[in-house]
Amino acid sequence: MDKNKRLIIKLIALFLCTSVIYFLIYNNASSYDDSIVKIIDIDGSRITGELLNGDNEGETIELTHEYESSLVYDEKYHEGNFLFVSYSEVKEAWSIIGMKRDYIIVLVLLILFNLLLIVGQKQGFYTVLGLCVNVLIFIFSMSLFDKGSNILLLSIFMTIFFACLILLLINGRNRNTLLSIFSTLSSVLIIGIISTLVIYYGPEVSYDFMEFMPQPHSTGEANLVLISEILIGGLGVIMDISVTITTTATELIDKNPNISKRALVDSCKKVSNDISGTMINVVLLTNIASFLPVFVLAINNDFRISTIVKNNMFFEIVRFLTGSIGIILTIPLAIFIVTKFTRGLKRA
Amino acid sequence: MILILSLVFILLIFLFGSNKTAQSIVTTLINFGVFFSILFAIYFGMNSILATIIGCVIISLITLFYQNEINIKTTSAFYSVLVVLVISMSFTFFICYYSNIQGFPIGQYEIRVSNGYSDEIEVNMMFLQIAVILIVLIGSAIDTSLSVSSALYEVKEHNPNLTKIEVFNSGISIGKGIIGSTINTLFFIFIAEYLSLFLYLVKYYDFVRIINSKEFTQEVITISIAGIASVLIIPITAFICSRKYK
Repeated sequence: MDKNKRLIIKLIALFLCTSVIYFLIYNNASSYDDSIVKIIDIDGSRITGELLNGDNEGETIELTHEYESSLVYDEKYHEGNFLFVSYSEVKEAWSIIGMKRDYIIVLVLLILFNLLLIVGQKQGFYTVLGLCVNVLIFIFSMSLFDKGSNILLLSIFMTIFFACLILLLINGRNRNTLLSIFSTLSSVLIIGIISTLVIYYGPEVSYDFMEFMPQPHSTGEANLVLISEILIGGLGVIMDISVTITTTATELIDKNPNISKRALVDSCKKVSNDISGTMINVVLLTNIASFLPVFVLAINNDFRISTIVKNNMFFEIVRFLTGSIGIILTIPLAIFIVTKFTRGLKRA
Repeated sequence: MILILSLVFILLIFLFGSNKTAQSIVTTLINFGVFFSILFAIYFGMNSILATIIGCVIISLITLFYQNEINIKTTSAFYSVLVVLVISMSFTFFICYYSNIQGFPIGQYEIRVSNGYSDEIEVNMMFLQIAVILIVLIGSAIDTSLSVSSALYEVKEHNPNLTKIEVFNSGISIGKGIIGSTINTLFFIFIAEYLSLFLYLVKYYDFVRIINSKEFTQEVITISIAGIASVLIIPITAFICSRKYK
């Protein structure tokens, strides 16, 4: 009963915190320098909205907005949306600059964090904590990149830091963690080396279709970005497999200290083969999904399918393949590391 | 480059893989095919949401029943995936409707009006964005659900006298153990996929513009909804298993 009461109090506190944060972000118009309007009425292409900040706060203004119904580049606004607007002295009219979306990001993230805390409790809290620290480190690295640091060096640093932090948070400070970190990093290193060799000694990679590559860039710079993507992209799944194998092996050795090396290797293989399939699937679907809108837009403009796949899907497939290579490679590697560093195993 | 990497991949599978790994490669290829069928169904005028839902159900069927086998563990996982698919779809629709994250920011692609191409296509990009989110989340939802249902099966097998509530609680604690790695896997794939986007954003945008921009919001919302789905599926799978395992 007492436990239930504490749970309810925790839930109420969580709900209150969430609501307060969302309320603050939802109403943060006054902290922006740009003028913001809230849409109160839409009639065809005429939008009526109320200014929320600046000198004319509270004033009602009229805007015109037209859009293509397929919404490829255009946006369709609804009542209740917030828009950034600016006033042109020449035209003596307000025009739309863009949409305010910060509160929607916060809403979705808050829901995710709440679910993690409610379902995962202590582990959920560590996951949220890990995510927040990782995001901060990522932002910090990005700002260093902006100041001119080498992206590959930053990514290597991030990979090592992310792996150590997350594995420490999951397992705590013990031998298991050390072994997982060791096998994770060696596996990431190997896929890094493989892809570096392929990039530099294989056929030259064309970066014309890499989304958002800052222009202008040299092939050398783009190569570094691609290697960085491969390292970070593989990290998650590799870590997952490493942890599974080290924990399974430790469990088995604990339960039966006389276990033979052969039996240990077999059991670890069985467990990891069970999970590797669905994991390769996750890597595939997560990577290729964003290709959908590109494909539809391109094919409606009479591009040939082979051209679209070759150009626009190239990097998705590369990341899928390196991630999957990482999964397959980590299984024997982690097993090797565990058996190597566990003394007293009988050979059989 | 793709050819060389594929060869390395196949070589490694022959070296270290088992029958099960070979089977999962076939599954992956089929799923790849299903993905392309979704693309073509949309191209030939099928409603994009409908095409995606059918595609997602086929992907779940193949991943669960072909890669593994038809048994009480996989059927429970399948029902859970369906429930989560329905819940996330309504949630995703609501978010996409209000956030305008569909389509492309001006200038992302070579294909744009100023280059003589048309943006007047028959397909509504908002529905397409919902489709993208559903495809991203289906993979991790299947993964989580199957882990919980098979672990729970072992638990029930070893302790047949557990009550429904005890089975449910045990499912939640199994879920707790795997949730962190699922979220992290999604997070790292997401950072890697959009590394060039982030490099672009820090170079040309300031913080305020980044967090309100279409491109950033699109990615964060997509990956967060995938995360939400993979957390949500834990209690749902635990509940369904607690009813079905006897």
